[in-house]
Amino acid sequence: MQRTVGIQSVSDNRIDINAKIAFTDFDIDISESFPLDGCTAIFGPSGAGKSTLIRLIAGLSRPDKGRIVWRDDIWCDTQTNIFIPPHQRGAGVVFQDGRLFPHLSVEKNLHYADKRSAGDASQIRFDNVVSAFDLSSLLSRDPRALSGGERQRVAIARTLLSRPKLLLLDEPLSALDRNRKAEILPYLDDISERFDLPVIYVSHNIAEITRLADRTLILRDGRARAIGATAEVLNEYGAVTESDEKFALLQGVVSAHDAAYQLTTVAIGGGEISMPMNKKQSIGDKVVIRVGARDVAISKTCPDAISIRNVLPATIAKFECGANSPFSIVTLDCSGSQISAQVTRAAINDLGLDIGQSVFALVKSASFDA
Amino acid sequence: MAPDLSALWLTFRLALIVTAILLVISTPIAWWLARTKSNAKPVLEAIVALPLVLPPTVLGFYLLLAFNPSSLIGGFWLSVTGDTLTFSFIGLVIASVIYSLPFAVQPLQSAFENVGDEILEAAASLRARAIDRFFSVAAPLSTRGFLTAGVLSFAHTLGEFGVVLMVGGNIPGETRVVSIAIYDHVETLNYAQAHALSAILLIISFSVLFSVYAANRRYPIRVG
Repeated sequence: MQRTVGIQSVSDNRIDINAKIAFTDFDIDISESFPLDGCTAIFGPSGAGKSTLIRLIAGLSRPDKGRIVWRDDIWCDTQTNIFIPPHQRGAGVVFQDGRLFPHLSVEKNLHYADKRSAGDASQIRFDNVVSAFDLSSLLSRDPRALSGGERQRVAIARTLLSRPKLLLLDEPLSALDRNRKAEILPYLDDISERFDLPVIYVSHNIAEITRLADRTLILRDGRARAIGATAEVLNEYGAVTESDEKFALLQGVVSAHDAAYQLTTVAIGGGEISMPMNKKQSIGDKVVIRVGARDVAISKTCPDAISIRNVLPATIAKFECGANSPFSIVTLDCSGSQISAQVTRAAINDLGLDIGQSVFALVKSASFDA
Repeated sequence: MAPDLSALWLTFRLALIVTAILLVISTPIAWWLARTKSNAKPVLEAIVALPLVLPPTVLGFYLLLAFNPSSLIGGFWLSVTGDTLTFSFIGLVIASVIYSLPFAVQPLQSAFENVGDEILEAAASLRARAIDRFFSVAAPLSTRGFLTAGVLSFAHTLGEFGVVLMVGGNIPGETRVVSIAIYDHVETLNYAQAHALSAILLIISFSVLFSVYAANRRYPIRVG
């Protein structure tokens, strides 16, 4: 059903969710207990129930049946009729559309949260939040006149000023275009450490999650599929995206730029991959690159006269094939990193490929996942 | 002219008091109607809207029966205050509140519906409890609804005739409002007086409405 990978609990920040809720077109049935330290992502395609899960935790929706426990506080238990309303939970939500109060200036939006949580023992201070999100020049503005990126910065700052015990970010960047996203992401880096509170980050964007989340819960069709360290879980379970295209995510370090040929070299595990140059990355940057299974071929010998630049020694780790598909997905182990290759079943048969065999992975193209 | 002045004063006093009462009692009714998912909603909505379709005389007739000292309500009132509800200013206020109820509830309800759950959820997650959410978010976002409700209630009470005639009669200084006075003047063919009173009512009503709408235009309410 689902697997738990590499979680060690060291703190009391733990949430127990046991909830069923049925809608006309889909239902949610989650039974999961996990530590909430640092940033935990909830990942899944649209319609997987990510927002509903956030709403259940925040108390904005009630489960038909179930129990939600945060630390030692029972937030909801349908059996004993316990339901703590959202304003008493201290779970601050940042919504996709910001939901700033249109009748209040930016500053008053921030004060709204600030004065309602002023008595809380928390390190969060108005001035610190304003400077952390570069809001001093926006304070007098009408929230309806803000750009999408500015609006989300204010929304995140406002929620932080409510001094939540738990910060829930519900696809805070999904309404923004690519450039705006890139503007906001730095504000979210290490947000959990900087403000000393656990964060749940909902997204269907792998790049955001890889960048921000220590731990990821994969949600699909209203069911939790896996939870564990982000990179491992995404490789194992996150690979089938909405487009159903299998790919691998490799963590690497930018090692060289070749301006003449417009290529960037990224060192991964035991090998190197060269890819179209991206000036945004500087040498030494940690990056995540995405290699689609369709862009990987397998060779038994090291080819020498071939246009493909990236030839990585690998070992065959696994075969997966659908009975009615001509293709098989072959998982290759390249000194620690896993790559998937989509090849025909006929080719596997002709080449006599088998698990444990040493081969060469030919990577035709790769892209930066950002 | 003196009795006419007293009719004018009585009418405005009635309209102001009724408007104030209506804004207070319509707010919770409209809020409930705007937020509830209960099956009882259409029942209450129909009751609130009844004065819109019933002839004022029908409403007045039932109110007359209810206010009668031999009825439950009328008798109770008499035993508590020593006064009858029928043919009294208080009776007029109660009747007008019921008669103008839809004019206050409906604009408020639609304003509250426009506030939307989303913004209230945001307020809740920022630790605002329900009553706080209403006063800090919903009410300021519904200013236009309050304005419309107030103006309509006032104007509607100002022009009321049939219900007043049924429950209030024509007692100078107590229940003789402008519309009744004008009717009286016309009945007795005293057109000059009728003209004067009608013109005053027209000018004052227009001035009130105009200043409200002009203020609304100059200081647009920050909504949506």
